[in-house]
Order: sequence, then structure tokens, then C-alpha cells
Amino acid sequence: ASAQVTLKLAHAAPASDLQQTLSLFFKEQVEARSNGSLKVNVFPQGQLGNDAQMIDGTRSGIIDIEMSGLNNFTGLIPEAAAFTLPFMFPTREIAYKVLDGDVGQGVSKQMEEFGLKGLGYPENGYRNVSNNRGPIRVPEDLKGLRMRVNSSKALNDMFDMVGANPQQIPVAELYTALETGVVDAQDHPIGVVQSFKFYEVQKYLSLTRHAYSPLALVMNLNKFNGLSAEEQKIITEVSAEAVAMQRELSIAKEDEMIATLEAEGMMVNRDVDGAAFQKAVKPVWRNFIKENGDTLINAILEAGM
Amino acid sequence: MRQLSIWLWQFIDIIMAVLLAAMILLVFANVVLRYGFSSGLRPSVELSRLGFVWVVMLGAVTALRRGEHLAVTELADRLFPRAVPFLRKAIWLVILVSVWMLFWGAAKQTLANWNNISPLTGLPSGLFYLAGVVSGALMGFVALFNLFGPLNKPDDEAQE
Amino acid sequence: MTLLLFLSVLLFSIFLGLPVAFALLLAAMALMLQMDLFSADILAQSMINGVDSFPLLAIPFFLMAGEVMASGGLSTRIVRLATALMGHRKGGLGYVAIFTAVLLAGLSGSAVADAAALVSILYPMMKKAGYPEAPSMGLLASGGIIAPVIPPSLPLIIMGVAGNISIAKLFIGGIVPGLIMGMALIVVWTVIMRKEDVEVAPKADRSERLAALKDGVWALFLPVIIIGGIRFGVFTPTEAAVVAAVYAIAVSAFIYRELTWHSLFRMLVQSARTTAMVMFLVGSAMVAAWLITVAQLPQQLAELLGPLVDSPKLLMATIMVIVLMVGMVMDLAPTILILVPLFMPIIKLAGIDPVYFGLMFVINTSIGLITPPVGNVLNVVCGVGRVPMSTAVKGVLPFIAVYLMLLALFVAFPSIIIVPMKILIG
Ligand code: NA
Ligand code: NA
Repeated sequence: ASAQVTLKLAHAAPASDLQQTLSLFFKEQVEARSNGSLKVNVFPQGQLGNDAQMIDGTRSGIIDIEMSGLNNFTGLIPEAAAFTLPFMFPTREIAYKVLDGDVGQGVSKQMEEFGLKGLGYPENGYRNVSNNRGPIRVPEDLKGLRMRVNSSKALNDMFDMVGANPQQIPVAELYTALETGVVDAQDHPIGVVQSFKFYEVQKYLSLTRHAYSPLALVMNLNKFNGLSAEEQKIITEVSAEAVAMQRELSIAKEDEMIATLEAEGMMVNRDVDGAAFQKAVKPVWRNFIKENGDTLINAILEAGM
Repeated sequence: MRQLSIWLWQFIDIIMAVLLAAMILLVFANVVLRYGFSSGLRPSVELSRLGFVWVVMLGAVTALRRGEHLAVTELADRLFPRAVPFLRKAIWLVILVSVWMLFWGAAKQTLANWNNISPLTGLPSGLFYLAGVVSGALMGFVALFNLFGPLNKPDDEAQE
Repeated sequence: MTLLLFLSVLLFSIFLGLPVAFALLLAAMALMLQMDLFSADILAQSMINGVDSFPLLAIPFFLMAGEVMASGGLSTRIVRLATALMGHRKGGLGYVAIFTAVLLAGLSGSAVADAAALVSILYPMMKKAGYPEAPSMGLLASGGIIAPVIPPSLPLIIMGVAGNISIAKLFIGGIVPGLIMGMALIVVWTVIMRKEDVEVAPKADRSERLAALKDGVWALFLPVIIIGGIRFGVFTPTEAAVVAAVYAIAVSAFIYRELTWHSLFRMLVQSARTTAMVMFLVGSAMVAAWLITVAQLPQQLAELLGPLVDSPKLLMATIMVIVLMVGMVMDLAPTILILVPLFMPIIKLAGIDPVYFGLMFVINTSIGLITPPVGNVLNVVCGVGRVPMSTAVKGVLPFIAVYLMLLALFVAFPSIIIVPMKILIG
């Protein structure tokens, strides 16, 4: 391909987020290594739509590359929800091993049925609970909390089971809802708590690490296949490097961000009874297996050994 | 034929009223449940968004038929009244092209998302785009009807 | 060049009589052709996705509340009360409207929803009392755009996220400029009413006032429920709109007994139709916004600003002019999302207070909601009030002029915003 190809890369995170760092790295490297035959324009902050809309757009080809939480793909690939099940990955290393190995590749392969080329799995880190009532040490501490939960069925089930009162509130309205008290708790990875400024309206952060939150970097399959072999190689290589860099930064910045949140006045609770939580939410796994089978769960557990 | 179209427009009105009433009930029930019963309706937000999209897209058809979409017609009427009947035709042509694109693009997305099942409602997310398909098709008929209907003289319009 | 193409197609087709929603689509198509990405997918997806928004659900619900209040007996009682209290003054209903606008601004974060509520409730009353069409419309539209400035405010939240600014500080900082906007409206309205010859009711005596108050207390209770409900976290602003609708239905059905099943159906249909007209336009604006974003028009704009970093006030003034121009054709949220991240680095470099900048930006884009040719609040008030666009445009002009003077004042003396903000934050 001698003509210049311009790629639109979209994500929904604020410009201060690591997703933007990854995007800019991707842009810089792809443009440099292709000697300008590939150009990348980055559209952060949901400028081209929210997560679901960016996925639709990338499938139809009006967006070329997008990055969003893997949980947004579970409507198309229900089994992929296994990655976001509560307490699926005890450590990040295991998560990386599984996502970069055969299991993750299998999901990427499935994405091709929907017109998507999987380029890799960056991360948002682990989800943690914040609230205004007190530290969360054991599952009972969640009882009665009005809690905003995302669209993941597993997480809704989980907070239902421990006696919280899960509520559907769009992220855009969450800050106000927390401030006025429509809901008194929420769960997100640390980076989101910082970039959406939830620390201004939440007193307690408890490091429950109850679910790993992988991102997916995907490209329109036809667009990818239309590139020269050399260009495809550049895209794949730069993606792998970008994902590795983003994960490293994600780990490195987590402690830093927690310290910042503490400086902003949040009470951070590190004393969480993980075993008690895992026991309490075991039925979530059973529900998942009942609906989707246990192939992927077992594959993840095996690969993680 | 005439009876059929009267029946169709009434049917659309009824659907819109029912959807809007259902949205009010859903969101209100969720507020009551949250405070009165410490629970909630998991699908209520998504269902009301879906209802909203359908109300808007169906209502857009009604608005097109009734000539209620906002427009600045005074200027052309005053500056070149003789050209107005032909301008109207050109306008309906632009509308026809727009709603064809809406129909076609939405149809593709409906099919692409028919297997994209929302975890909270169990419904295909293609239902959102289906509203665009139905709306685009109906608006297309309205546009065709007006495009190939009789050429209105500006005087007729003024006397309405 | 691309911006010029977009604007000329948009304006030209609007002036030839193409409905504004379709003019936006045509202008978007022109951009598609120019960028060589003509695609039905872009149009269909951006439109459906633009319409699919939970916060905007407040529109049909507030419209429904307004419809019910209008024909279920609540509005007439408020008119009676307002007339009893302020009717003997010249332009009394206008002051009621301004007071209501500021009150509503404290209830909801959406200018479009507020304007819809204001017009659907107050415009019929003003019309009935013989107020001139254009200035009444202008007042109500201008009152509606106070909503995004006074908290709660969705645009301020978007601003906080897009510009990495404290949302709490933006909220607190918005109170004073919002109130100043309300006072500016009082001044303009007083001047306009001096020339107008509106029927003035005889002054009501004490017992008449009390009777009107007693009769209208159920209607007056509605804002209390909304304010209290949002302030104390019983519901979100979107839910508040539903609560308002349910409350209005309950009062007119069970207390005033002026509601029938048939009229309820008619009101539902009417709210749905008005909602559709407004939201179809929002959807079309989203299609245009998507293409403006992809064409990277704003980036080209921001590059030109580099040399102004050394003179903050001049930079601020320039940015305000640019935002005003963009706001003429674009909606508030996309303007914020696209421009703020671009301006932010320059703002910090020039040493301008980010919270002050964020507030100025939101005030400016809010004014954009009532500036022709594309202003969502303008569209809403025309749709809900069923008046021609030209009347509304004529009506808002004096208010826009005064708002622009305020903006200039805030550029010249930033401390008008910054000092009270710092005092309130403590
Ligand atoms: Na407000
Ligand atoms: Na405008």
C-alpha cells in the first residue's frame, strides 16, 4: 500500500488516563515505524461514543481501532465474562499469563466472527469498593449499601448476594449521585476513582480487589486484513509493546494513585478478608457455569497454575 | 388504503403513549423500590433508554408527516415565492436520501447486534437500531409520497 | 476551509427551508464527501447513539409534568397565585419566570429540560395574560440556560472530567455567576416591560392572596419535592423529572379531579411528539458533531492560539470568541469534550485558574444553546411553545447581548467569579 492510511483510534477514558498514554505511544510508534504510510488519529474521552457505541463503530468500520473494558464484549461473547468474574485472578501475573496465552487468543479468535481483530489486553487493574459509611473488611460490611454497579451480571449478582442494593446509574451521573447520596457506594479500579474524582464525594476506599478489569484493544478486521504484511506486523508488534508498557505503568502507578487519594482525604482500608469474600460470592460462579458452561473457567484455572 | 393509513398513525400514537407511560412507571418504581424496599429493577435504566429511542424515532415519523420538524420557511417564501414549490421537492429529496441512509445503516447494525445480548435485560442490543430501521422506512414512505405527490402552489399553502 | 464548507451548507439549506435536523444531516454528508468517507453507518449509528441517553430522558418526563400541570389544574392555580402576588406589578409574570428559572436551575442540570419545563408551564400563562410573544419566549429561553451554571449540572461534570478540574469546585463556583445571570435577566426584563403595555391586574387583598395560596399549595409543593429529593439524594435529576410527572398526575387526578384517562392519553402522545421533534434534532446534531470531531476542525483552531500565552486576558477573550462561534453551530457537550482538552494545556501555561476557565466555558457554551442558527434550547422552546424560530430569535437577542456583556465583564474581572468561589469553598 503506497497511499497513506489514516487510522482512527478511540477510547472513553479521560486524557489523564493510561489509556491515553497507550494510545499516544501506539500512534507515535506506528507512524515512525511505517515511515508515515500509516497515520493514527487518537480520539479520547468518548469523543466517538461510549464503550458499546465504539465497539459497534469498530465492527462497522467507521472507527478503526478502539479500546474498552472486556466486559463490554460479553453481549457478543458471553463466555468472556469469565475474565471479569469476582476473584477470578488472584494475581496480575496470572491474569497476564491467561490473557496472553491460548485462552486469551481463543477469545480474540472469536472476536473475528464479529469483524474484530484482537490486538491485546491492557488493563484497568482491580476493582475496589468505595463508600461513605465505613471501611469494608468482610462481606457483611456491604449489607444495605445502595451501590452503583456496572452492567456486568456477575457483579450485580455478587453485590446482591452480600446484601447490598445494586443500582444502575450511568457513569456520567455517578459523581452527582454519590455526592447527593442517591447511592452511597461504587466499585471501580483506582485509576477511575482518581480520573472521575470520586474521591471528592467518597470517604472510604477499601482495597477489596474483587474483580480484575481487563481492557481489550481491537481493530476492524477488514481494515487490518487490507493492510500490507509489513504494516500488519507493525500494528501487531506495537500493540504488544503498548500493552506491556501500559500494564507496567498500571502497576507502578497504583501505589502512587492510592497515596494521592489518601492525600485527598480518603480513608484507605487495606485490611480486607479476601477468603470470606471469595466464599460469599461462590454462587456467582455457579450461576455463570449454569449459563455458559465451565470450559472457559477451567481453561483459565488450568492456564493460571 | 386511506383507512389503513389512519389506522397506522393511530397505532403509532398508541405505541408512543404506552412506551412513555411504561418508562415513567419503570423509573418511578425503581425510585420507590430503592428507598422503600432496598432493592431495584436491574433492567429499568436500559429498558427506559430503549423505550426512549423508540419514542423518538417513531415520533420523528409523525413529526415529518405533520410538518412539525423545525424549519425556517419564511425566508424562501418571501425572497423567491415562485421557486418554493420546486424547493419543496428538493427538500423532500434531501430528506429521502437522509432517511434512506438512516434505514440502511440502522439495518446493518440491527443485524450485526441481533446476537449481542444485553446481560441486564436479556434483549438483543439490535433492538435500539431497529427503531432506526422502522423510522427510516416510514419516513421514506412519507418522503416518497410528498416527492411524487402533486406540486403545491405557494398560494395553496398560504391559504391553509 | 472544511469548517467553511460545513457552515455554508448548513446555513444555506436552513435558509432554503430545509428542516434544521435535516440541514445538519446534509452538512454532515458534505463533510463525509469532503473527507471521502461517505457512509450510512456513520449517520445511523451517530443518530441512534445520540438519542440513546439516560440523562436526556428528563425531557419527556418534564414535558409530561408540564402537560399535566397545564391541563390538570396546577398551572392555572399557580397563575392565580402569581397574579395575586405579583400581577399588579408591571411584567409580574416575567419576574415569576426568572425566579422559577433560578429555582429550576437548582433542581436540574440540563438547560434543554429546564427550558422545556419553563416554556411548557409558564409560556401558556404569559400568553394568556397578554405578554408579547417574542420577549416572553426570549426570557424563558434565556432563563433555561442558567441551569447548567448553577449546580447540579451535567455540563459542569463533563467539564470536570474533560479538563481534569475539581467538579466540587466547579459546582460551588457556579452559584454566584448563575445568580448574576438571573439578576441580568431582571434588568433586561424591566427595561423591555417599560415600553410594553401589558394588562396589569388590580392588587389582590389579603384574603384573596391567602385563598390563592391555599388553592395553589399542592402545585407549590412540587418544587419543594424536587429540590429536597435531589439535595437529599432521594433521586437523580432524571428520576426527579419522573417524580415530578407522577406527582403532577396524582395531584390533578386525586386532588383537583381534573384528569381523565382520555386526557392522560392525549398528554402522553403530545409529550412523545414534542420529545421526538427535539431529540431527532439532538440526534442529527450528534451526526454532525461526530464528523466535526473526525475532521479535527477544533485542533486546527487551537494551534493558532500559541502566541497569546503571555497575555492571559487576551487569550481568554480570544478563546471565548472561538467557543462562542463554535457554540453557534454545536451542542454543549460535544463542544466541551472536543475543545477543552485542547485548550487546557494553553490555559495552564498562561496561569489561568482552571475552575474559572471551566465556568466561563460552560457559561459560554450555555449561551450557545440560545444562539442561532443551531441552539438546542432555542429549538426546544420553539417546539414546546409552538412559535416560529424567527420569533424566538428576535426575542432572545437582547438577552444574548446582556449575557455577552456579562461574559466580557468576567473576562476583564475574573475575581467576580474567583473571589466568591474561594469564600464559599472556605
Ligand atoms: Na443546575
Ligand atoms: Na447556538
